[in-house]
Amino acid sequence: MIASRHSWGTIWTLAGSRYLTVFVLVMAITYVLVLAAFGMLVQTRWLDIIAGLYPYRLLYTLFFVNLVACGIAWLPMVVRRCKREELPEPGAKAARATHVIEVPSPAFRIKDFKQRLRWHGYSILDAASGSGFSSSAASGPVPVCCARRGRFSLAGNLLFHAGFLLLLVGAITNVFYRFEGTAIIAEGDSFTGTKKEYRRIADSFKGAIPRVDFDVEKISAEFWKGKVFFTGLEARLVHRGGRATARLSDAVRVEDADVTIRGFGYVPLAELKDERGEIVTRANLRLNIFPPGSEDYFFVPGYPHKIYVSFYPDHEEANGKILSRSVNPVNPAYFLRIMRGRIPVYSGLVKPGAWVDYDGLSISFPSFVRSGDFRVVSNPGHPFIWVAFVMMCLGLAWRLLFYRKDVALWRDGSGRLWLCGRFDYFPKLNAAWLTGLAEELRSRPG
Amino acid sequence: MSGFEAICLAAAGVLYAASFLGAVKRWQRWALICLVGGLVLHLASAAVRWGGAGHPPVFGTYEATLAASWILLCFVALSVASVHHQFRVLATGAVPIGLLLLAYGASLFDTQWVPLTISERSLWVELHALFAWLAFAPFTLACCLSGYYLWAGRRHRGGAPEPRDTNPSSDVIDELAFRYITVGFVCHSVMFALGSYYSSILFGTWWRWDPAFSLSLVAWFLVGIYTHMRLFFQWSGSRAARFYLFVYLLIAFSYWGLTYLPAGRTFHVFDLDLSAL
Repeated sequence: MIASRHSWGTIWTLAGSRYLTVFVLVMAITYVLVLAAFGMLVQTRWLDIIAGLYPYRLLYTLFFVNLVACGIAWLPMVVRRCKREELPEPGAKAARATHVIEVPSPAFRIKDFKQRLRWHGYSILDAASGSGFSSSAASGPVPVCCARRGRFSLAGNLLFHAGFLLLLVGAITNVFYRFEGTAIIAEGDSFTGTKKEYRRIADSFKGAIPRVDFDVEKISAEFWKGKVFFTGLEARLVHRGGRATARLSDAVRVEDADVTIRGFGYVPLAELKDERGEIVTRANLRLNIFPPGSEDYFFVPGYPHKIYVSFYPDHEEANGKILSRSVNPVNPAYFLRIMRGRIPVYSGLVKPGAWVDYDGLSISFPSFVRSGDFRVVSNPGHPFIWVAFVMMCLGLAWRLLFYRKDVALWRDGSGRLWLCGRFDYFPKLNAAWLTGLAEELRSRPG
Repeated sequence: MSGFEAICLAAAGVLYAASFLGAVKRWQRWALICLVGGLVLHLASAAVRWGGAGHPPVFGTYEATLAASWILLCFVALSVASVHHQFRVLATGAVPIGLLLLAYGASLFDTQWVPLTISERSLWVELHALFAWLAFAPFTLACCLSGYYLWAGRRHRGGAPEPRDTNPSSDVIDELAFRYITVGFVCHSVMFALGSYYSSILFGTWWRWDPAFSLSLVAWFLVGIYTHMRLFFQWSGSRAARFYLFVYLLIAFSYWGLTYLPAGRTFHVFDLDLSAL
């Protein structure tokens, strides 16, 4: 039992050791470099798979075990050091990070000194009443002026590292509950968020489809000199919360999901007539036919034909090739390829409103509307992640930039003044600053 | 970029180098005037470009060099003019780096402004870029100080006299390098957070294993190791300086090397060839 307790103690000590911290960081660097190298060769989704393999899981486990163990080991020390109120004393010159400078007693302007410390963010503590700082010296020098800043900065260390734990919570929540789907929605259409309305749903999705319901009122796009280079793309949405404008760089929160527009296109209206000349089908075709020249296909239910469509908004024919001079729909035309099995039954250019006859049927594209490629995302873990980032940045800044500094001015029995400073970081730099300050305040006429 | 600012900055660099090597203190004042003059001209030309392009000059390598050099030289001017006025070594090392950055951007990349595409039209991406350069500047200054620390140490061991104006001791230089690294570390973390937030809007996910993300994370971890080694394992002096110079190589690559990665591997390259459209 004792041996077992001893073993657990050893494991716990190892888990919370700084050596393990450095080891885990080196391991993390190696692993991320591997991913960076792979990133130059393969697609990002493969990297997601690699990052989920067992060696990486081991890294994540070690990282968080070390983090928790270190946090638990630090906590009492953090509390103790935040409570510490002793003054940096002249007698403690040999103590680590305590600097003692003698300043000339009559010429040193204490009022200016206090003012300067205040300007540097110090709180001046009332040394005479003993509040704030406490001196361990029972006799000998007496404090004349005490100042302190960043008393609780050590808590920033905990805040920073606790941020990692929240990051873990957010990342795990996203792994299990994240949803991402894309849909092509035409101007004027409604989207109710049912599964069949999505063109693609992320493979990793395991949970329920989020509630999302909106109408696309208007889609507008700006192109640079009429070329396929978007300088503006936005969709005006109407949802229960009111009207909002979705952009690629600005998501709209609609019920349980964030909606962005990430692509643009045209949705043609297709009409199909049978042998008797009756229109049997009329539908908006949600196809990927943008940028000009892109080809997509559709089937008409009940018929064996596979109909390939390309769209040229501003078409021209040059050397037997069909081109689009711009992406503005000023002279539109479709290029159709109709296949029955492997047999081509039609191939050619079709203007809007014209009818194409094949196998006793006729097809026409009388009009088209603008459409958007929308992304609907629900990331329940993101709030945890944003809070984690804020905690980490604040914690890091608090600890590293606003670290604890204690300064005290003492007068000894013979009336000599001693300036003492104790600093969590950069002791020599701060001592140089303190020396410079003392020089400056005695060199001026008082 | 105008020629005047380059001349002013070059003059500042020469005067700082001369004052450092020749220990002529009165040149420092002229050097600072040249440096501030160059910065003002630099800011004016950036503002003109901003007004013309309609966006802050942070997109594409040329604009990145403008932003990076301006922030770097601002750090130098502020450091030299205020608290660390004796650190001429800082200016002697960093002003030529700022000039090299400007020359690199102006000579190798297209200087014409291009319109922003829809993925770049956001305040978040501008803030992300701002913090990236706010991190880069102190990291670079720390590199200068670490390099100087090693150089001075070697001279000292070789029996050569130290430059006459090494007013701050080597220990102070060592600590100042670490202090700049901590400032860079905080800004780098903020840059990460902002980039991650913008990635969640743009790609629907807070993290992607894009080489830009990965290399930046490696740099962040390396600075983390450096910080741990200094605080918990009492690394300092030449060992810390040597390690940091290695870290800085990776930091510099994560900032400037992405444009040399295979095409299409990262969305972090903003140099567009619009004539190819």
